[in-house]
Amino acid sequence: MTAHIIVACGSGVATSQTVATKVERLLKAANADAEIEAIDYKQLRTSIRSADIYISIVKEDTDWGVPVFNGVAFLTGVGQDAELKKLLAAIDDVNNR
Amino acid sequence: MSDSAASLFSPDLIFYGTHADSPAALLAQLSDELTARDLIGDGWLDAMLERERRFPTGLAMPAINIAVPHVDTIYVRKPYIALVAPAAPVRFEGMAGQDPVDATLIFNLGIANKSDQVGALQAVLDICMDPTTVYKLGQAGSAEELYRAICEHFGYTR
Repeated sequence: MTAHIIVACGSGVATSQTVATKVERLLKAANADAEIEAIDYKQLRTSIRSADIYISIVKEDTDWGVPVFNGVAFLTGVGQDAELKKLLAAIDDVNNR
Repeated sequence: MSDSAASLFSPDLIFYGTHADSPAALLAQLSDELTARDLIGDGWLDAMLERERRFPTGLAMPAINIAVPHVDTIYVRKPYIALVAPAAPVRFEGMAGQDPVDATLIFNLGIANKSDQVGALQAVLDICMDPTTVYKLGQAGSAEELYRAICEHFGYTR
């Protein structure tokens, strides 16, 4: 199935949108079967229920029960290749369910 | 239609050599400047400090440390991007629990409408990932020179 990815940031006005756009472009280039949605952190508790993968741009102390990836890598480019590789593997896992 | 990110910068909103020993001190001064220009509404500073406490915005880019403080659209009257180059680096907590960064440039994103200013942060990140622009910003000795470096990055001069 298509992997549903959410990206959350503090207010949903800038950071999550920016990360989502960037990741969407990278995933398209890699032909990944995934859809991505930027949300406000306040919606996280609800949105995470229907998500397969979570890209975080806030400090996380909660175990959400889905794979969590580091959104900062997609903002700064530092460590981005490694994070993308792991993300693609997680998407593959979802696709094969 | 989306605003072009270039149009959100203004020479009037670039501050060089600001003396501040903390994000709170820097944002308080910025609040006064933005209020005087009627760009922000009541509660902006409190909302900013609260947001920076819960969701800090320090980013270690490959060639420069920055912070990109921003708040909910309800506190912003008109869209803008303000740039502060403090006299000495100001330590911001890192985004998403990353290490703190000593920011040499602080880009405050004034986002009044999510969909219209959706490109603002990416434009700031592009500026900070462009080695030539980062070099020029580092060499700049005045607000005018900072503004010129940004204009040159966007490929136009004023």
